[in-house]
Amino acid sequence: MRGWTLVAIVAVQTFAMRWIGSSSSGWLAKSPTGLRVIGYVAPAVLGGLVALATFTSGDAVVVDARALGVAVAAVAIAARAPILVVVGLAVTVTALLRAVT
Amino acid sequence: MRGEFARTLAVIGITVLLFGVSFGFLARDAGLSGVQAVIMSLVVMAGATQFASVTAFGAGASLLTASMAGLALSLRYLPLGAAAGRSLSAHFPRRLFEVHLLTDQGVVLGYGPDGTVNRLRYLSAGVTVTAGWVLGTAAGVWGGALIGDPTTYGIDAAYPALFLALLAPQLRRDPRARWAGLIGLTMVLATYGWLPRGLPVVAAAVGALVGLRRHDTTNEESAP
Repeated sequence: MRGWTLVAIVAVQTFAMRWIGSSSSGWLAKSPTGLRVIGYVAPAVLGGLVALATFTSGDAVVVDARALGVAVAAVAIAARAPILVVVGLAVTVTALLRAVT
Repeated sequence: MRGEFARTLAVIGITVLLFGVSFGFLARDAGLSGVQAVIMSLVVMAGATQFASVTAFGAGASLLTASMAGLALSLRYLPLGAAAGRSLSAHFPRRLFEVHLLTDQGVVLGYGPDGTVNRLRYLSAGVTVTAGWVLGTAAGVWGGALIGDPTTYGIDAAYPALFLALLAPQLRRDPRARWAGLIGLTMVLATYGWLPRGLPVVAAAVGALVGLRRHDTTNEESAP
């Protein structure tokens, strides 16, 4: 029963965040200032998520195997490599570095 | 281009599936039943949120503490929703469904040169993430320890690499998008660990203020 209660609460609050965020989109776009900002929310937050996924572990900012994997992926992106190559390189380099350290 | 899109969806689906498996393991260890874990993945459909709340739940935290741990990680849907919401259906029952499908993958896949989020790409990613996440969870809770921890295989590096690859066209085209991304990245590195969990990603949204900066060539281009 406790399990179901947790599922219900987390479902409702996650949907609420999605709903409030999505609703803010419409009224932000109504003002000229909001409209200029809103088109750059995606790259800003996604840049933040990249930092989170690459450089954090537990409660600390870290540089570990992922950093090299993602750096190699970035070089592949600059060289216009296809997406499977980019992601494949990130995974392989990260796994190899973990295997040898 | 179509093939590239299909391959992108496949990469999204596979990475999410593998994380779903590890969520399935965690959920069973934390004392959720298999059915509870799978239903949670369907109705919450938010990886980081579920990991946080179920980890706390399994460690014996109260329902309040466990759900607050999840809520902190759900705060990212405020700015992500702000980025995508205006591109979604405005019709009531349909909008509920499309808002529920809000994922970081959908925003990154749909983000276009005009700053809006392409709805079809957003929805394709949302459906793919849901399918991968729910199936992965089911495999984790009922499949036994077939795969193990995906971080062992470097799968965790797939997520940021994929995001960079999908953002690349916009980053190349628009210097302000580059600055927005860089500021977002810096904000997380500067605030992680001392701001409460979940807030660094929200703080990253200040990068969007680059939109206020006038494009250097705007006046020349718009002059008659």
